[in-house]
Amino acid sequence: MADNDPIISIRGLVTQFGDQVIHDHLDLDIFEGEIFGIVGGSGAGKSVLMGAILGLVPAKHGIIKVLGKRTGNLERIMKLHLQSHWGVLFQGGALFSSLTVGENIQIPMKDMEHMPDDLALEMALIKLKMVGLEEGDFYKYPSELSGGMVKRAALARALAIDPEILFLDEPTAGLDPISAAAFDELILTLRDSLKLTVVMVTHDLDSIRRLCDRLAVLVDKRAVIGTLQSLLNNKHPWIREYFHGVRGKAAMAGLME
Amino acid sequence: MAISTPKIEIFSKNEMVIFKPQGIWEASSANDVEKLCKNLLKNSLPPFVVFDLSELVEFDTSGIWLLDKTIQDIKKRGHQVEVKNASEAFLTLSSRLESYKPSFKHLPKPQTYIGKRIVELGKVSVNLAFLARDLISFLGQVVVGLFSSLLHPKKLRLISIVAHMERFGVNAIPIISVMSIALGLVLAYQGEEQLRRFGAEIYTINLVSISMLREVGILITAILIAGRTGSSITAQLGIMKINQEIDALNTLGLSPMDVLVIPRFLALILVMPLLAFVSDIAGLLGGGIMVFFSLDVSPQLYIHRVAEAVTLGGFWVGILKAPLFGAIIAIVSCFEGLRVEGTAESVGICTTRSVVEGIFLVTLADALLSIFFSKIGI
Ligand SMILES: Nc1ncnc2c1ncn2[C@@H]1O[C@H](COP(=O)(O)OP(=O)(O)OP(=O)(O)O)[C@@H](O)[C@H]1O
Ligand SMILES: [Mg+2]
Repeated sequence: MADNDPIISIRGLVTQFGDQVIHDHLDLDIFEGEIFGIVGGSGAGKSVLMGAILGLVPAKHGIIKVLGKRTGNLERIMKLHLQSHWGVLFQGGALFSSLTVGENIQIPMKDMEHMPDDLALEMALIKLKMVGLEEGDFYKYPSELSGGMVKRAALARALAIDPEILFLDEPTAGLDPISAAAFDELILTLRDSLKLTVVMVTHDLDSIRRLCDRLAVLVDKRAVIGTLQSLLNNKHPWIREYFHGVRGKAAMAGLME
Repeated sequence: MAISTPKIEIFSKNEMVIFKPQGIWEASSANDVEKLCKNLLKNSLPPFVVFDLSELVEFDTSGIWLLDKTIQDIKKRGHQVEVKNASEAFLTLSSRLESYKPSFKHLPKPQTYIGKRIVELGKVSVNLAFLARDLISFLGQVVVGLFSSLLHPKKLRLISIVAHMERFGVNAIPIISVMSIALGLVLAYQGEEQLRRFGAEIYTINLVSISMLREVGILITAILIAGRTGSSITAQLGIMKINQEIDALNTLGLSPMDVLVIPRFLALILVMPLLAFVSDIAGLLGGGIMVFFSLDVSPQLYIHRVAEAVTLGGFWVGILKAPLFGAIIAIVSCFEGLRVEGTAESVGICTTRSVVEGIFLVTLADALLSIFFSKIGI
């Protein structure tokens, strides 16, 4: 893999549930070390796109490459051990309900035989604090957490092994503004020091502005890709509405002429 | 190609030692990194220790954490430590990690093995008592719910009841018939073998028909329904509880008792006698097939002998037990379903318990009823 090759590349992706086409020949490149935002209306197919990259949703047509290797279904991903290169935060958290928060965070570490137990415990505690939870939450079960705490615990699990690629589905939804800002800073620090690549589905305009190097807007079953600046000038009616609507204007104040 | 395994190069000068970490210091090599760090601490060190990080380029939080910990340990022993040539990334991350340092304050102390067992024993016994209490109070709630829906028949959800009757009853007919035919065959075969010794093999027909109608038919039906329907009710209500669907019902002013429990309860009560009847007929059919082949009893004769052997009372004893058993299964499975708490594991535990308790209580009730019926002479 050459240095300027994309870390994730998608060509001509078609996904479909029954007759409903979600993506129609969608192309997308994500490069190492960038924070890449995916936005779009509810039901536009953001989560499905992430699922397709992760091999959870079968692609009807098209080529998906991660780290230069062709993926597409779970079997191939298993064989390539791609799972140890990425961490995933699902929209609903997807914590294992029969395990405590601490055990949830340690699962990806336990999976690697190279991590001694006491170190795994320490690292889990560190990750727990990193995402803003307290040590006292370590032994709570997911059913005993608040909505925002579930999100954070799931983020801690996604960060557990410092993956090269971090997939986040609406990470700041359900967080208070202070925690959301802390989250933005955390992601920036990790990206800057560990060269993490972050793929982030989000509706949070502040996060987009603070974090995202580039964005893909899912409209009309395809992706319109660009920097925030270039998308602000895009003429597509939905994109205009998104950034120039009441909320968009407030969040993007100062960026627009 | 860069060196991949983590390493620490050591340069000693008279009063000073320089450590130069190299290679990959990441979670995937954490085992090796930890060993390296432990080895550093084993040796006796000169007063001045320098960490030269110029060649440490591949690291993640676990690598930084281990290195930081080692440095702290060396400092604690009274050595002077200097960190040189650390990249900016290393410094920002390590200062961040400093603030996340675990204190282990809130971690509970592990119990001793014996302590754990004693606590467990206590929990099990107390839980058993609570279980009995809760089950009885749930029974009370169901009875109250039943009366209130009988007083306001509009509250009865007829469509839901009929739909449940189809799922619990109609769809169970094939499996119940097959099992009952097989049981009829087995009963007839075993009975005939024993009775033949007394030359009384023709009484096989009495044996099969009486035991099938009084006991076996309804028991096998109840056991199958406890396994098939009881488990599905528990799992369904359990998942609804986890998804907060039960809470949603409550906030909408709909009582889970009326919406979920009573329809299932009534459906099972209504459907059980019918299933027991199906099982009786299928069992007799199985017995008939067996005696036709082994004793050469024609179907007409078989029906005639069955009619002679069975009293109406015997038939009703079997059928009348059915609604009772249906009620037991419905109450136990709804009760266990609503007891599910939060985790997927709990759904599994409660479903198992629902089936086991259902079968246990049905068998117990059957034994008590048998004694009762024989005392009053039916
Ligand atoms: N398992 C599934 N079966 C059938 N249709 C599905 C399935 N998963 C998603 N869909 C459909 O695919 C479309 C895109 O769903 P997706 O979850 O990707 O939306 P989204 O962009 O993530 O929306 P949101 O911002 O609300 O999370 C929706 O119309 C949804 O109904
Ligand atoms: Mg989504």
